[in-house]
Amino acid sequence: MARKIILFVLIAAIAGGLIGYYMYQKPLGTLGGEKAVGSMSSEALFDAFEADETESMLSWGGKVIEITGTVSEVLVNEDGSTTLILATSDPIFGVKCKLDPSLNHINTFSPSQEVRLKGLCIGMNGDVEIDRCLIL
Amino acid sequence: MKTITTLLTATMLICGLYTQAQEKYFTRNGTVTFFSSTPMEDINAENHSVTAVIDAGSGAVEFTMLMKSFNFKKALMQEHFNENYVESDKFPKATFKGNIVDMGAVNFTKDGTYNVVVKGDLSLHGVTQAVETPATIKVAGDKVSASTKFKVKPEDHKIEIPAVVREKIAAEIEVNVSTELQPLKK
Repeated sequence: MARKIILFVLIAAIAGGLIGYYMYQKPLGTLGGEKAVGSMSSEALFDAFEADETESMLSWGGKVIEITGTVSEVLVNEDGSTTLILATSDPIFGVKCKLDPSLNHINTFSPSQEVRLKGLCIGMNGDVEIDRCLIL
Repeated sequence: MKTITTLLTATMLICGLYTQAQEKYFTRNGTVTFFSSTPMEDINAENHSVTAVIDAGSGAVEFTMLMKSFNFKKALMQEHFNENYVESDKFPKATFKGNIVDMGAVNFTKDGTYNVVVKGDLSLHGVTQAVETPATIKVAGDKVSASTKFKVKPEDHKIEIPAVVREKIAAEIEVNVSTELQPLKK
């Protein structure tokens, strides 16, 4: 009986260790399987953050949202990823959508293009920032 | 008449140079990376959404970034970084505000590579510390690149590292900054 208990504890410890190791090594995946909790235009999102950043963070911060808008600027980042700036009513700042690295091969974005995408809303730093975006 | 024309041209040129020198340079996709190396583990993270402004007139430099813009290779590491260490919900931004100390060493109207010293305040995790670091400014046409690297001690910013992972995180984290800025459109 004691042997069985030791064996059980040993197997449980090994299984726990393997699960822990898998969880620790798990790479940052895409948001493909995540459902957006809300959908809005880039203007509406930016205006909401401009009006009340705290309230907007409570509503959208850390959540996957769907955004539609017009590309005002296409930026290629140092790591080869792309960031799209979506136009808002502000002359300088907009909604900054950093595309998921899995989309690095797409280089056909251009200003004035209409886009619909989903990504993780992470806050406002001049621009409202959406991370790990996927094109819909 | 020729003298007047020459004077007018010279005045316009000087005013033009003056205007250019007063220009502000801006980026919204600057890069900040950090690297921690210990015998147990190497950790690095990248942020490619850094907003930066350099005022070519005054030498003022300002960088701001959201902590949640740092991407790690491992999902759990990113989660621990935001929730346990830098507490991104409570302290969402890191900022650096400072000045190019030796502004005379830079000519923003002439292509070239200029080595300067930047001095200012780094605010991270709600704690502000003075930073002084050598930096490189490259001028190429209307583009300005700025880069630097310096070290940050987590304890200086009251970032608590649990004893169980203390050996995995370096006492000093190497921070690299790399930005390409363009004239700020008004």
